[in-house]
Amino acid sequence: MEYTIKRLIIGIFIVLAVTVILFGIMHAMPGDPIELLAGERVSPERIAQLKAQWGLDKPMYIQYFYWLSRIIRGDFGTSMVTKLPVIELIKARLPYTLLLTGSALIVQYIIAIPLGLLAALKWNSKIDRIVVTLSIVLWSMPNFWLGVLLMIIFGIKLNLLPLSGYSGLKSLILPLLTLSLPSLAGTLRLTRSEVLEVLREDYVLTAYAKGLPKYKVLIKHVLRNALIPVTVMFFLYLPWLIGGSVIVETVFAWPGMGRLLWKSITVQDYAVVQAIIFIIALLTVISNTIGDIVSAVLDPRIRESL
Amino acid sequence: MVNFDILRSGSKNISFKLGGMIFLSVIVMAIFAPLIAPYSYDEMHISDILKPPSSKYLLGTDQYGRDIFSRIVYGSRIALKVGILVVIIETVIGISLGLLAGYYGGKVDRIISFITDVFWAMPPLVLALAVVTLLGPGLTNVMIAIAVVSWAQFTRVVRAKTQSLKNMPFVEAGRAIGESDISIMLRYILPNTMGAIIVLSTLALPSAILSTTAMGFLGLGAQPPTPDWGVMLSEGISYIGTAPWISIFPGLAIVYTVLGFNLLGEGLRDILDPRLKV
Amino acid sequence: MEKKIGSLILFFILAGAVVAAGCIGGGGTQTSTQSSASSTSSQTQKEVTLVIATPEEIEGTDIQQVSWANIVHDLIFQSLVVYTLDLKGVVPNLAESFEVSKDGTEITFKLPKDAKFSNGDPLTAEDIKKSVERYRNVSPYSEDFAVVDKIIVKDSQTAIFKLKEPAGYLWAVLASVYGAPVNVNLANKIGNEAFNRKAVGSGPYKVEEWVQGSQITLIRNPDYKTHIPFVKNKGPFKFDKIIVRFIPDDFTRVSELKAGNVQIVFGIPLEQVATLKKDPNVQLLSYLQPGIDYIMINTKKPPLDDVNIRKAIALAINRKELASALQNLVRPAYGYLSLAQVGYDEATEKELQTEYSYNLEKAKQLLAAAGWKDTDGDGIVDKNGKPLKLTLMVPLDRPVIKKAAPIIQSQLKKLGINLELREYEYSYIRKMTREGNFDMAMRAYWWNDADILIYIFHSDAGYPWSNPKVDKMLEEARTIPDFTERAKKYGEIQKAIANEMPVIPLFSEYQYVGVRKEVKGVIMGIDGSIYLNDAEIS
Repeated sequence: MEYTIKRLIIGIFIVLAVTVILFGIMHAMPGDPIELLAGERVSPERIAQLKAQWGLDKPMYIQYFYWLSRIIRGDFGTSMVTKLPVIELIKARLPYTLLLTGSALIVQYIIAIPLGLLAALKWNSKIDRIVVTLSIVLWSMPNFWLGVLLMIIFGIKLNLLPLSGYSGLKSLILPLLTLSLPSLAGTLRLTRSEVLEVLREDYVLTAYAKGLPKYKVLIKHVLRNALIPVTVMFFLYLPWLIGGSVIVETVFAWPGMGRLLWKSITVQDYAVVQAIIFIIALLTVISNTIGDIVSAVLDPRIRESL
Repeated sequence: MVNFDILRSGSKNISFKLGGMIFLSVIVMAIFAPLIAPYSYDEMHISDILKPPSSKYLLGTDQYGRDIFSRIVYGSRIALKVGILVVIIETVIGISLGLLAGYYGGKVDRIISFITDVFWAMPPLVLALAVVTLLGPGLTNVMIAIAVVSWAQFTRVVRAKTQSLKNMPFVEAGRAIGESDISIMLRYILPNTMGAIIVLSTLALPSAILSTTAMGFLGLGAQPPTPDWGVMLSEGISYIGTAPWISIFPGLAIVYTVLGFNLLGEGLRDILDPRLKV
Repeated sequence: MEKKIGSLILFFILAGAVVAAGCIGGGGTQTSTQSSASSTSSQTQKEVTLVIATPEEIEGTDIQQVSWANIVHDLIFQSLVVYTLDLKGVVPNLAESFEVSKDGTEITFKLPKDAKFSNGDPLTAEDIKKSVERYRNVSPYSEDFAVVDKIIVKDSQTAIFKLKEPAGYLWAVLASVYGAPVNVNLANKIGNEAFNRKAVGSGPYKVEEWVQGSQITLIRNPDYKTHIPFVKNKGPFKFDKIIVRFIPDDFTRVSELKAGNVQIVFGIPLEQVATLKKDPNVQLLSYLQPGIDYIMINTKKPPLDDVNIRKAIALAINRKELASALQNLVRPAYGYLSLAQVGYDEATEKELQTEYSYNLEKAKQLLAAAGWKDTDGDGIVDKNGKPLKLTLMVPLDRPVIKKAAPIIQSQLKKLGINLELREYEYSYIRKMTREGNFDMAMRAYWWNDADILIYIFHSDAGYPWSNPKVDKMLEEARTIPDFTERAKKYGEIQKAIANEMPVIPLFSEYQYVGVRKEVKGVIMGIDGSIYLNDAEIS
């Protein structure tokens, strides 16, 4: 308990440090949103006037404290580009990102866990080698390239699926594959190595010795224990679930958080970038803590050492 | 460090062998680029724009009529340069912070761990994008950005290894004969973490290449006419309907190289440090 | 114990599935709104819907708060007047008629008696005045009306603009959607933020729903009335609904047009023009960029402070080769104005063309005269042992300019100049050029009036180059009311600028709007202003 509280306090400081660093970088970037948006017909004086309107003429640390005090009150601020509340922009994008990342995660688990288990059970066999090699190949693919490849095959040549944008669940398929295929390698190999490890534990050997049916041992002892790290990994995915993938969302013109973030960085829409980064950092810290607690609850060895 | 045992077990390890072969072929391609490539990487043939693969242009031409095969061959130099430099920066930062944190523990450890956690909590691509936008575009800045984003894993591994090593008898022995802290870290502890560092570096290299190409894809990479694979791929995307070869081949080059390094890294891990989790 | 662990794991996996399923549900509701939208477009019997696609999402709907406008604003708002299709004159739109006093300092607008905003509120001369006042407060372009001294509301139908001096350039604002009246009373009541989400003007459509990141749905304003002489239908448009979809990806946008899911597409990318020209279901309307893409040179930084070097660079650029490499989707520019701008003068451009067309020999001579020769035989000219190396800033967010950059690089190599390309965001380049922190920079401008030159070449614009004589000429030119006289003056100005070559004009881009063949009656001016008044789906 004490440990958890300590972790959370450190976590708050981590989140603060992240926002300070990003605030610094964003403001140190050349130009600012007003300058970026203003067309050719805007004079330098008018630019200065608009900057003052948004408080951009104040020293950076004052701007940061304004931002911080608003965040504490739960106010994410207003986008300088759209002039709409940031929270509204996020609300509009979040469902799309959750749809994409959530289903990608499910697909990834559905494919990776059985394959990992299979590879471990058939350790050092042909099947094992094929599965492992396949996972390395997938792991080596840049996801934007995989995306383009899928677009060419299914979108253009076969004309089966929508290329990009969101026009119904059908348009989910290509980005979903692009997102889950390269990353399933990690889950697959984690499952495989954990199962291999558990298979060598004494209690599994004992269970076999006791003459329990093979599948029972597998489900009751092996899978249950081997899946602990896989479950923990699920929590580590939380920030990504919310934050989305900049690359895949850009390739497929997916109206999600990743693209909102990327576009906001390019036009330096401070409030939007800060808000999203704040949420992601907060979730990272929380999910790491939950991950620790879960593994402690599930794994008595770790709990003792806490 | 390198002894014949490793080579002997290496020759039995399939992924090490395959990875090594790919790795060598990429190096050969980079060194002998001017001999292999039929054209220079920036030579435009305005009359031969967007030509499909043929005997004249092995892999076709791009929107300026440049030979894609030649550009891919020269591009291997960029990919290798980026990968290796990024890994060197990462290892230097990672090892020094990891050694300090692991060896001294206490306050030093807490501060370094805090910094590591902070970098861990930032979405890597976003941080890299922000750093590049801050420093300006160009390959050097992209390399700095990627190194800044990814040193943390080295620190974590080296720290853990150091912690487990620092109370070993041979380290105690070193202390007993009055070796300085720095000397103990560098001469007693570091050599024993080398296996893990070599494996980590080999695996960090392909991910550095992937990150660079991702940045190039988003338009923040090498400046034209540098034949960066990621930039080539991203420029080709607007032509996927009419000239898919522009984006397919650079992508294959990326997959080939990254796969080679991944296999090599996997093989090395099996040989040097099978228990290491990355 | 083990049972407990098992159920815990099961719980977490289930929880994960539920979270994700929730997301799918969330996405599902989005689907249903979308599919209902597209199904209305197929049920043409009852309700006629036009679907338009644009690359970028609007910043907001309020024309006075945004920094750029597109078709959405054209549909929500209605300017007092519009340019004729050839840009040679101005004709009424919302205004029934207008009159300019002899000295050019007074413009009187007459509104129709029953003029209304699209929410039914009456639109009177008082609203015209309030709109201009609000524009001066909230718009980034607040200075557009700087020359207007005051607006006199003579009666509810008559507004008189009193100007400080004659201002030919004011028409560019008055004839554009930026100068259109907005419902200021409503804006004050609901606040700028809410108004930006659902602005009200007197245009042919009103905002129904704006789905962030996706599309905006507009419904017909039954009270709409126009006085544009070159459209047949002066009343409400023929589509009950117009949906404007924001599709940033070029490929998708065009594919949607080919598939017939979208009827009008803006921003057809260069590389898709050839394929679309062959498509039997699509017609391409083209217009020329009202402006030019150009290279700005830092005239204060040696060696570029030498006019001979600048002229040598201008002469070494082969615009014809450039155009053919860009698949002739650009029109070479030798002057500083394009055909699609008020103030363009053909004779001037011809003259500049004969003087500054590609001539590598002459360029080399100019360089040599300035002391730059290739003494070490490496292909790069040098002076006092230093090779001529220059940096060109390239906007990575302007695809056509970005594509042209490597070609210019290779052309200048033939002259013996080592040109390094550096890609940045366009706005960053604008900032760096203003601060004088560059060698050469590729830029562009878009504005349908020649007055834009004052924002680039006048000393107040803040760029490295200026010339008091040109300053004076620019100030003079903007006050000339007569269209032909003005064009002549701008001709002189262009020649005076070219003489010092602080900016090398490159080309104007052809722009394409893709329209499905079943949509008939779309009218487009030479500067790309589009009129859907007579448009219908057959």
